[in-house]
Amino acid sequence: MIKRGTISPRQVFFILTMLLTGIYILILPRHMVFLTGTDGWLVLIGGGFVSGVILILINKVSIKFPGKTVIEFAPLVVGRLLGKIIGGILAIYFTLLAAGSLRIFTEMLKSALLAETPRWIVVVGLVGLIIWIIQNGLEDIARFTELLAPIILLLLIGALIGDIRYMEVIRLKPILKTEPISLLEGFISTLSYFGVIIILLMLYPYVNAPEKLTKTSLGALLFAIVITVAVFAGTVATFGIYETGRMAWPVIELVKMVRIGEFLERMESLFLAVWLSIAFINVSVLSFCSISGWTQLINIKNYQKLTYPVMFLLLGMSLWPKDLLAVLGLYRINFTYGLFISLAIPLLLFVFTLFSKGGSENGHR
Amino acid sequence: MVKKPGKLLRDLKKQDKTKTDVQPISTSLEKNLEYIKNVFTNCSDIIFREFIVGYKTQIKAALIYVDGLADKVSIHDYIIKSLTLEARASKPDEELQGEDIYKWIENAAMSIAEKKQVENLDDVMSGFLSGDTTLLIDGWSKALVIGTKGWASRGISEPDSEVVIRGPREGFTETIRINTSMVRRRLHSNKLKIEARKIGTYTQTDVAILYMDGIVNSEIIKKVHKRLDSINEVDSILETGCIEQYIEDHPYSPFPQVQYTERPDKVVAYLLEGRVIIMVDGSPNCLIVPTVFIQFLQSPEDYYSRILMSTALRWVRFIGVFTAVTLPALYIAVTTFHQEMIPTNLALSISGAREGVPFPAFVEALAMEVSLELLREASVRLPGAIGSTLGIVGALIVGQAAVEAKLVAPQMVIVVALTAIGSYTLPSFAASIPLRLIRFPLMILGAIFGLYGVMLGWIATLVHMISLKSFGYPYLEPLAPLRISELKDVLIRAPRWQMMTAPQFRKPTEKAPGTFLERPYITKDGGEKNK
Repeated sequence: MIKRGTISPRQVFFILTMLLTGIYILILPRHMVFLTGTDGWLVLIGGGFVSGVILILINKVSIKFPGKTVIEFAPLVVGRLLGKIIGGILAIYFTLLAAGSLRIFTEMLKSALLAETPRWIVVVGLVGLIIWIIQNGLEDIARFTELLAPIILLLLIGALIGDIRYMEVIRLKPILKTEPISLLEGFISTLSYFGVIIILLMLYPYVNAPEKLTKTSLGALLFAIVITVAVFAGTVATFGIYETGRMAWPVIELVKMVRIGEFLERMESLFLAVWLSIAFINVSVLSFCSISGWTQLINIKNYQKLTYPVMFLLLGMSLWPKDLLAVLGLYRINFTYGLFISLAIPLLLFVFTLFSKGGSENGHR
Repeated sequence: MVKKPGKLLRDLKKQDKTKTDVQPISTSLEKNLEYIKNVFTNCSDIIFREFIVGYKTQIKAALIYVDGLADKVSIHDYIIKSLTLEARASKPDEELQGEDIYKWIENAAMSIAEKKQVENLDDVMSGFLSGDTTLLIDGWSKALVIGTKGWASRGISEPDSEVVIRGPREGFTETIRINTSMVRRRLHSNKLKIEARKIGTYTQTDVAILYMDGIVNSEIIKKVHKRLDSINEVDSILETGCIEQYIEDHPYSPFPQVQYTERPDKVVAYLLEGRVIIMVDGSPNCLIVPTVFIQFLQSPEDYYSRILMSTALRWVRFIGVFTAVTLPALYIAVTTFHQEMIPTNLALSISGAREGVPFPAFVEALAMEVSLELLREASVRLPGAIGSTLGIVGALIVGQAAVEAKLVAPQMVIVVALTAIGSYTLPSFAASIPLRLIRFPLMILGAIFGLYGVMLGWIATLVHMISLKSFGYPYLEPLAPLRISELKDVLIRAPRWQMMTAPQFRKPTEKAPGTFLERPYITKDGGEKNK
């Protein structure tokens, strides 16, 4: 088992921001435009707010069980069987998310940069690196994130600012003309989108100053909401809702339009390189959580042994769907039902910890 | 490194058992001399000088020294002359008897500064082998090792590999004592500790460990000692590089995890930052541990010259590193895969120049880079005048001819030349080697996957660098893990009065030194203090 208490709250901040504004933001605007049209940004703010509440619950629950991940403390809270089921669901959820990010990134890379390269070569290269850093431990993943995240975020914000000249506010109108049922559907999607924050339940024991995490994670969420809303609003304001809905990668199209002077144009290759780092960070964190989740679920001492089987499974899963449409179709399941994981599990755990006083004493050892 | 110490330790324990029976010093001078002469048969440089002390009760004595290692003038003037002529002249009031004679010889009859009493023949031998002179006296079961070290050594000169424009010009020499004295001269503090030890079963090389007591983290000292202990029984230590390979954390990494320097001012600066210096006799280099990567991008001159200038120079070096590692790979990737990134006019001129060149960009670049490395390796060993001729022939004539013969495009010559120049911006030669090594895999990746491959290569490099540790400290320390307060010596070179805060290797319990967050002689409202 890797040493716990080795990563800093600042590193968690960057990990969370990278996860929340990372890979899935590529497909978010399109999905939101389908459901909510121009009101997407309002829905995102609302969903982000509710996710903030969930985040507080997550922090409240985790702080009661220092040194334990959710998979270890869930059986203590809700009983052995239910706890194991929750652990299993989470492990599967992380594995699926990791595979999904890997595949979405590969699709984007293939369509924008390496049209003729076979998909598996791209994926295998990336997965090889991810296996390497996972074997090195979460601490290295956290450091890598901390090193690159500021640069990535700066470039992203820079791209948004650089595109302001193409944006027109008129394209964001009308406000609140969408049907309530679609708004609700959109709201549920945002909950699933921000639901990645429950990864914090897995990261808690590795953090050296857990008492600071509530503030840090809320800060990360707030930052991510701002960027997500800005990206959504920026895309819609640039392309309008119909164009955005028709484009495969609206965010990439957005950064494609950045140009510096008259000579540096078509910077999307640069941004694809940036997204490669994002994908690398996202998939490493998610697969680390999934691997350590499986390890704790079946009580193995050393997570390194499980790395290869889980990563091969992940590789297979990410190559499974036939094309982009199949991937998006599969991911829509998460947009619709993801809230049962991201909302229900923290709520359930919180309610149970309120009623079972024993849990907290167990946790304090 | 991980496995070897264990084996060595086992061997060490085995040898310890046999080592317990050392040869004692006999009271008979003849027996002792016979023993030593037997051990050193066919060693023409060992000199035995027998003489007599006193004239009434004559005592036989013998000096042993190594010709060339010991300073003959001091042996003549301050040992032999004192013990023979002057001792007879200064006759003590009463006749000395037994042990008192030896005490008198040791304490009163010699006019030399350094001496040590030893009690067995092994110490006697190691004494004169290291340049001292041993005095054996008939009837005494002890011996004196007298400090007469003095051999021909190179004068202090400016280190060729670490030239500065502003700053001291002296560099270390091959003699460890001179080197420690150069550090001590700059650091008149009782906190400067210089621990000595010997490593190497055959060479018995003197090794000194320097640190500032109270500033250094004692964990580092412990680690240094533990790692040096584990190599006690290696055959030979000829240079600091031999020690470096044994004690570094990841010997198979392309990145050096121990820095070496020839500059005493650099050593003092690092001592004050709480690092440990390892000096080896016979080498003008000394090792600095722990080392973080960013150190290789810093030159002592940065701290001597003006703030804005050195900050700008730092960024020049960052660009240099990036160029040296990535430029050829980037050029290959862009011209092969992503022509749309190049502005139209430039793309046209590149394709115009490449017309007639028979090779793909990758082969072209590889050929040029390999010939650059050939040129570099060839010129390293040559004396200065011929070296520059080679540079002119290689770089100018061959490059020009290759372009004219349509073997390479002129743009490629520019790229390769910039790569070479970029790698020379690094103040440390050791750090430019990994950059040269990484460049080739990056070029291959760039040729296969385009920009994706280059980025993949960069990520792999970063993953590797992040996993590195130097004596327990992360190799990319102020960057990852991020320490914002220390970035002021990385991204910029902050003013000196802002940098006097606790360095990262400081002992955790130690209080930070007095911090000057403003220039001490300026008052808050900008006026000058009257005092």
